[in-house]
Amino acid sequence: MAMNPERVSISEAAQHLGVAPSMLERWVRQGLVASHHTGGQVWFDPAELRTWAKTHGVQSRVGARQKGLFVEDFFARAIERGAVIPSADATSVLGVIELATRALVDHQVIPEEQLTGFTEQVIERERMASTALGSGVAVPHPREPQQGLVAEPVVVVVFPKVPVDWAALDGRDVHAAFLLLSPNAREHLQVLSRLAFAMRSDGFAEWLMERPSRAQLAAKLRTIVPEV
Amino acid sequence: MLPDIEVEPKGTTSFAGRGYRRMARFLGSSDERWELLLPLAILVGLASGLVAVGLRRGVHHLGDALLAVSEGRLWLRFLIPGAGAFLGAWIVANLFREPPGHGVPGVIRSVCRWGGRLKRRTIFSHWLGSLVNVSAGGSAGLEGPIVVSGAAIGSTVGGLFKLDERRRSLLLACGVAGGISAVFNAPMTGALFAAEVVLAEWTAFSIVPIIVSAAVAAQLERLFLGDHQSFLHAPFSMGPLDFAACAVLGLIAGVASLALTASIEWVDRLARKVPRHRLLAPLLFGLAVGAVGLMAPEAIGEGYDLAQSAIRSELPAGLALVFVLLFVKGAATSMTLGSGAPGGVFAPCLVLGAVIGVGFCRAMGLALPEGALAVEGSYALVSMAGLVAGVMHAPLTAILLVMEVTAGYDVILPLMIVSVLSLIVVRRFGHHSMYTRELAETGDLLRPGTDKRILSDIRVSEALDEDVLTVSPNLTLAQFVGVVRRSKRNHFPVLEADSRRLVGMLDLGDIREILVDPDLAKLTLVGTVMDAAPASVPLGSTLVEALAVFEESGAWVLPVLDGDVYFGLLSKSRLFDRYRAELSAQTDV
Repeated sequence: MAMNPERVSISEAAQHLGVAPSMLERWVRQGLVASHHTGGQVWFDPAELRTWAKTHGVQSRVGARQKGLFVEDFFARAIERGAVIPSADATSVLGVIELATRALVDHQVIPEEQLTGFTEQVIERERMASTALGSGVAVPHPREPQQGLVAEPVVVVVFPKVPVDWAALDGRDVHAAFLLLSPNAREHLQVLSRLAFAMRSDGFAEWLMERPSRAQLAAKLRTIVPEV
Repeated sequence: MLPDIEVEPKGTTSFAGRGYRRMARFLGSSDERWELLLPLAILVGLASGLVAVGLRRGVHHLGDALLAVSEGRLWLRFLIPGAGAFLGAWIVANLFREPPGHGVPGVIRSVCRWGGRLKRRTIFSHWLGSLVNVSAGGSAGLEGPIVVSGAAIGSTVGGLFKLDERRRSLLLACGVAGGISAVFNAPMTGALFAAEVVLAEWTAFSIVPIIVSAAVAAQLERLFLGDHQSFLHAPFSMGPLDFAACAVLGLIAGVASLALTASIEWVDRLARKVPRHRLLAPLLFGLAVGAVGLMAPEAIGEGYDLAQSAIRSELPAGLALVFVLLFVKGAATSMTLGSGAPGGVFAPCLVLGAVIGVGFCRAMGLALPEGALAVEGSYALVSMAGLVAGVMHAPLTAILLVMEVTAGYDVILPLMIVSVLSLIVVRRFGHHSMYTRELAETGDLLRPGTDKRILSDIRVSEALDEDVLTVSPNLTLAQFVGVVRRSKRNHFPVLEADSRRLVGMLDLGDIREILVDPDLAKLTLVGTVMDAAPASVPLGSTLVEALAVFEESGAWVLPVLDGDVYFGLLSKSRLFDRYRAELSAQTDV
């Protein structure tokens, strides 16, 4: 029997109200909620259901906060939105950061007038504690996520010509710096954990010494996908 | 947020309070025993009965005196209702500094919000105001003011004996029951009105004292006036055809109830546009009532003479006349009550109901043969119940009232038909009566034992979690692991170090992956991965507001803020604990 689109079934209604279907069935049985019966089937009128939910203080769960969905090539996409600077003329942490943020303007990720402020934030964060990850990799980023600046995470990778002293705990100079720019904490966490996963896979840190292009880097990252 | 309420100074136990406690100990019962309330209920019944009889008599004599003065002087008869409305409003608003209107919502609010507390001066404010207004010709009832006075007497006695809020509310309801009981010589009506409209509680604990008070008040009234019936009527009986007609009358009564309510509210909106409306609106609309009174003197004032003639089938013949009466009485009532002049809606309901009943019976008489229906007076009676049920959403009060004033069960079936159908019509357009709408809009309609009442009695400051550890935004996640070790919780408020200003919330579930990676944990700061715009509730909110934020944000915990400074953490589980505790405390069993 085809359901009338204006009719809402028990399971749909239960989902809408955020309760277990058996709970809603009991409410119907106890006469607590207005329902209709046709040919042994119970259905609800959407308008009635909404009114009922409102007058009884039952909140519809539709649109409630959802955890981010797992996207396989999350990191690769962030790099494709950003840039790779293959051989950078920078000899200091500050120099690398300035090159990276300038690249964000060149690629029209952030507007020119935001450049100074944003660069300041990244440097400020670096002053609090080094962002070196070890194995010659650093992850500069601003302390706060940049909701107003970007809608999706963006990564700029800088390969300095000569490895830079980044005050890393393992003492190794940095040959690859990933500048992270995220709209919120959740996506920042995702990019970070993908990078960490890649770093744990064999030879990734050494492979970065070959200064891969943006396309190569994205392609490589798509092969290193955590099994879910 | 909870309103500030007047609380008596601590430690000043009154003589009466000590006496009550001593008697409680002597009788070997704890304060839990409610038999001790019965003497107090009798006291309240006597006092509220006196107040009711006094107001009825006062209006009678003052009204006669004003009528004598204005005899033959048309300009005075035109001016007196306006002057009375103005003076009545002045008495309530300026002399006693009370909110205008019929006062019954204030009584219900007191039960819902203030633990049955009312100011002592409330005993006199609406009483005196309506005495002046209704004597002068304001088209309003005395029952509302009597309810307010009775309630204030009950509350005052409760305060004198230092009773707790529940017993104080109960004595307040006893005062209401006594007042209504005495004014109609109808004890069951008074008791039901108090239980149905004011207290909304139906337990032996509450009903017995209310009935005692109502019975005492009715007895007192009989002492003064003899065992009279409020509405004299000829004996009548109703047959099957009448029952069918009553079904139609019930629908009409429902529509009339809606129309009266809407018309009063319309005048109310109009009156608020008048400059200095609390005094000038009663004056202006009072003068208009005076103009109505020049044309139809029976339409103004309390109007029971009109109802009485309708019930005794003594209205002058003619259908058109009934419609004119209906219109002018409705207009005068809307103008008096809508303008904020002191007075109640009960009497106008009865008068309009009686006139509608007569009109209906006459209209039906056109189509039916002579003598097919009962006398029109009987329709006047059942129609009165229809209006009371429709305007006040009080069908039990309506049915009992007519049964008691006619001293018989003869008309119980038609009464039920009319009252119930009227209520059904009215409920199609809203769940709140004239008494409760305003309270529902301000969120003050909190009936005992309901979810909202329980939630609104608990403040967030009473449901805070203990042992909450807070962190600084500049901590690295590697350092944060140390905090996690000392904590049993998953949520951490992030505070600015010196100011303790809340800058975010950290959810352990969100950062698990980083936390287990020592390298990443070292280079990630709390401030980077926290939720920088968490939902929060201000200190001083109640759980009603907190629950709304929980549901809207989907959060499990909410920081409680004093300004923007962190005060504590409220979790859903703690909220549930407190809710359960409060529910158990507020309900029996």
